[in-house]
Amino acid sequence: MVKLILKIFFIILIAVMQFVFMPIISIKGAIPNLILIGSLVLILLDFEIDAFYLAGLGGLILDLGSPTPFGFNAFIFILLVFLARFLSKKYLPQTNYITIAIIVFLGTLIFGLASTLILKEQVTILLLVEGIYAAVLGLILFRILLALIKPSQIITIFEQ
Amino acid sequence: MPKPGSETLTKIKIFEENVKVLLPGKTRRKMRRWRFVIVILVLALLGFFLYPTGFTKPIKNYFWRGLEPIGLGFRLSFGKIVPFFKDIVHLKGIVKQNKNLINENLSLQGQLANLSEVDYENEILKKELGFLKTQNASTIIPAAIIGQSSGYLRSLVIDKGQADGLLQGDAVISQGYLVGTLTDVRKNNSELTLITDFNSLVPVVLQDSRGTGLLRGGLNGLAVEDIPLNIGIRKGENVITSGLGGQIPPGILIGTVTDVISKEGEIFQKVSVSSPIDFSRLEVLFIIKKNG
Repeated sequence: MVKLILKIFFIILIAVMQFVFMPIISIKGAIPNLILIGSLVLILLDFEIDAFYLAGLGGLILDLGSPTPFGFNAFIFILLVFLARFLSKKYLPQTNYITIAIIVFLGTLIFGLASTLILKEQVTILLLVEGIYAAVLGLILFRILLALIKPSQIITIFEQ
Repeated sequence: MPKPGSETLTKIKIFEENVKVLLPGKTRRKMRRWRFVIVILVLALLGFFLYPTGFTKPIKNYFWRGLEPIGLGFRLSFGKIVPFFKDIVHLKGIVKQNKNLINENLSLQGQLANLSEVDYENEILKKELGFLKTQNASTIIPAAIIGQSSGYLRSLVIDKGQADGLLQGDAVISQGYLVGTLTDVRKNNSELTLITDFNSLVPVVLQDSRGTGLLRGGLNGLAVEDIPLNIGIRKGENVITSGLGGQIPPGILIGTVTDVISKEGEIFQKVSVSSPIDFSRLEVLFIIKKNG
């Protein structure tokens, strides 16, 4: 229970950072989405439940403050997590730096296109900049998680 | 003597047993995941259909009100540190820009002295002709930036709203230049759409040639569209708000004309506009509230 509360608190913290901190470190106006990056990296590392929690709950929190219709972020994030899960199971059995970069880049691009369409904005080259920025952040997060994950968490199925 | 391959068989049996033990837990986890996903999707779908009723407006207001102290804290701490490091990277350009600004400042001081004299003469002449004292027709309200609601909109969230008397469409300025208009005014905070946004349209006039048009943001920066063909546009002339329609008062400076970008055969002229404002580094903003 304490673990779940901590997770929810952490998700709220990431969503808050998305609104107040990420615009400060934007590059040429490109602001990567931390919730999306986090959930994609988690799903590629096989933390399925955590990835869906982050995508769903984080998406709903983002929806509370976003100009897009309520539910848009949560829906797209869950969809992208499913897509990433399918791709990683079917075509990318090994999770490494390249797969992380590709999936995060593509995920950000799809989310950006969907957002610009729903907001009736112009599709610009900034989407690519944002994709690359998000991929770099994804790689940093992947490195941090790799350092934090205990080997026992990965091989549990063979141990019991 | 054990049969050949029996060791492998034993290992497989142990593995199968382990998998059986693990399965209920795994299934439970799967069920939990699906239940959670379904709940979120139902909420999202419900919210999506109820969105046109405007039920999210008060929620958004309280959400951003809660974020206000955190947002202001980040702006006042990291908001100052990050540009400092960006400036170090562009140090050479900044030195050059500073030199140009000093020269421009000296020239403007000279112009200001002349204008003060003209202003004084103007006041005297008005008195002689019996004009009534010009009234300030607008109120200026300062506002701070809390955060940004979406990376795909050139918009910002500010800490003033209906409670401060703001209305949708009010003009927002920074350092005397127009930076945007209020597009979503909530009780305690508002959404400001910058003039660099593709969907922002502001009626403007070119100060010297008096050509009117619509200012729009976009991929290639600011541009004024729909200027009549018979207008002789001069490069470097000021672009100011025309005050036609909406809440934006006339005479607010936006920038200067840099180039005529319309092609031959087009029925209207189009010019690109340069604003001296760095829209990624806005700090204190002022909202111009039109009185009456």
